Amino acid sequence: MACFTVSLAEGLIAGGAAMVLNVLSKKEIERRVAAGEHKEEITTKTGEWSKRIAQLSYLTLGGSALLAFEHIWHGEVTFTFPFLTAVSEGAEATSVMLHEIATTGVLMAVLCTLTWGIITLVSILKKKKASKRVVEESK
Amino acid sequence: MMHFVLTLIAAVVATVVWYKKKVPGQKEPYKIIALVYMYAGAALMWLGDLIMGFVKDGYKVFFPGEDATLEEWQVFFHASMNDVALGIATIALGLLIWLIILLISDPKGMFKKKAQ
Repeated sequence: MACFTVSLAEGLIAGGAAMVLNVLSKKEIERRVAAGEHKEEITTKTGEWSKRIAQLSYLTLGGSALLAFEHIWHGEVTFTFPFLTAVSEGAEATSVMLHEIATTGVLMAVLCTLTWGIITLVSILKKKKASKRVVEESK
Repeated sequence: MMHFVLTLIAAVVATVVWYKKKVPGQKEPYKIIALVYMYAGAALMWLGDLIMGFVKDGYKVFFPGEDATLEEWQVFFHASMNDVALGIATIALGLLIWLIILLISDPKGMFKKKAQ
């Protein structure tokens, strides 16, 4: 009915967080360049996490866009206020919709976050392994 | 269910194409990753929907059952056909969004050159 709204909200929050981290990363880079470091060689933790959280945002927002289309297809979302058919159908339909958001919607968001978490964890571990190898080879 | 299967296939194809085109350490100019995010996100979310459907209705999410009447099979077939159409339309919408992203990012600078 409107289950995609949970992932949509998650995507918007993650997108905002990624933007804030990106600004913080740029500020840190500026500070380190002023201290004499080369801009190309600087990597910041906030910058890395900004990219990772942006990936979660793309996954959830992309999925939400296509699911919003599915809801329009089924007539559950309309282009006129209040946009959700269940809300205009009365309290009982609204209650069913809220139950679906709380169950299916949350499960959808959890699945997306879990998948992103696994991908992020694998990439962090791979990066650590690669940097360990570089250190060992330099010895 | 068919829209989930079709979107999952689209996600797998987009991921394989992205992996083939991607050069490590370089930005991928055609933004195929946008397709991967859209289709994978939608497939994961529909998987959640399917899991909840299975919890609620059991195996009837996948097929009406051996004891189903002809009418039930007809309803199921009609719903599946609608799902196939929805899946194809979803893939088309994903491609359209990707095309808009591609035209805005303009990796070959076609519109910039014309403006100059």
